[in-house]
Amino acid sequence: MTDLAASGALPKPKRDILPALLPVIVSLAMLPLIGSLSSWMTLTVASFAMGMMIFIMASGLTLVFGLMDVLNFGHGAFISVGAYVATLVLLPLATWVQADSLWLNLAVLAPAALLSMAVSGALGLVLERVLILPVYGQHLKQILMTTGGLIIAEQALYALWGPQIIPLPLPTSLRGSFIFGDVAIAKYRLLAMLVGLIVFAGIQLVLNRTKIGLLIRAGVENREMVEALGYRIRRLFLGVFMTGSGLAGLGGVMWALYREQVHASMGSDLTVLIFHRR
Amino acid sequence: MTDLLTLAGVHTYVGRYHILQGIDFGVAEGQTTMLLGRNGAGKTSTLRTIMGLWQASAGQITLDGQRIEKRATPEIARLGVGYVPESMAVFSDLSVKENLILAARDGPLDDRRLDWIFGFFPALRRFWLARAGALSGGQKQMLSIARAIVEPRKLLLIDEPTKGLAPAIVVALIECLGEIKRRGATILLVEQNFHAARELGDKVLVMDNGKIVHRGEMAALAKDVALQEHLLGLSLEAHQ
Repeated sequence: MTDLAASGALPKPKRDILPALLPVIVSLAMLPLIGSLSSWMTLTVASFAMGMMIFIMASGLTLVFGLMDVLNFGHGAFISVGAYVATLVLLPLATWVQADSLWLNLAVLAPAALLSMAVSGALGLVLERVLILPVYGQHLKQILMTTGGLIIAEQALYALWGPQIIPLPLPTSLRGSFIFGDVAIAKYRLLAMLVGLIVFAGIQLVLNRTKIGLLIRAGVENREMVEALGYRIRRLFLGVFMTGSGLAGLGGVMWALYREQVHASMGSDLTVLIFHRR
Repeated sequence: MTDLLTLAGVHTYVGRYHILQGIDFGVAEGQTTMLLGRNGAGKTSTLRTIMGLWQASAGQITLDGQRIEKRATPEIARLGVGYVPESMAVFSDLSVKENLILAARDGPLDDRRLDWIFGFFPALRRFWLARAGALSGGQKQMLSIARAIVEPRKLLLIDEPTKGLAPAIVVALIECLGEIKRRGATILLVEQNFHAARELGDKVLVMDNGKIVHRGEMAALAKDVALQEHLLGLSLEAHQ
């Protein structure tokens, strides 16, 4: 049998670690400008926490654009809906939220987040079918349709919940800061970082260690060939869209708790930030 | 010998262009049928239409007794059709191993079958964990073919596998496809390399302007220089 092996070794693929290192580099560069180490620590953790919340909201957008080539300007709708849905659980159970017990706080926070993700994911299913399916491959129409969807969602939230800002207090055990010497690190920001890291690790795990992840990566490159191998990429697209919408819903809950308020235009306010992050 | 695949009166439009204009042919089970013709004759369009990547606007396509002309591509693939496109279409961001894992949709990779494939394509074993995008053109073609045969398939649709490859690699590919054929595979092979066509083909179909203009035994066409020149504009001798 003829040996078709090339004589030389393949060049090693370059790992692009700069994006991962960039936040560390920027934060270190800020140290001499801030001057005080304790202030720098406090501000760095705060900015990482905010970055992680934006990452959670934007990760779905990245997946949807990367795999489906869909410019979803309505992504902010899932953020707002996620936040409003959380109030359906957190406000009636305010006594649990205000209880001085971490477990009681988490017992109400976790189902609120899960319900928000589920409702945002379901809304994603509807939006994909109704607004995006007719305009696949047409970026301009996608922008028009999804921006329209965002406006409709925002107005629907006003109609259902009214125009007032809804206060959403942080659970008691997530208030305040851990103090290490002169460094104060807000508890909620630590939680936001933790959730962001879990989402990041989960996405990396799925994309790099599962067959579904391989299909997503292959689909980004050549969806036609994925179909020719026998996989229904439309279902995969839908699953990714729903996952992205659900993550935006989770981000909406986290952002609402961070700002301690919910309002219908929070999604559209965040749209520029999450597109920038993407 | 019964036909595994039959096309009857198949028409395909791409946009407003009428590409396939009433194609009729059969692909006999266990044989290699060559699909020849000049550039733009409709060979790739025929494979894409069979695969469901382009929808036939009229006519019937039957695979192993089942009508497939209205079915979606994944469903056709799951009926046992392996497809090697002209562009190779390996997933360059994925490793060789990951490309083959995706192709093995019915379960985990079979080690014995992999050893069989590595017998043809040792480079794939060597670069098992390397990104497919870093492979040479020939190695990508190996991977593309390996993907189609990593699990047994009823029918292989292979589009110009030797295109743009170095002569040494073309020889090896012909050897590989010959071995796949000897194992009883049914192959519909689009090829511009007449040497490869003569080596591999049992039957031949020649297309021109979206129609089948000749059908017969490959051996007979290989011997008939005048017919080659009439149908293809070139003779096999010119390619020796």
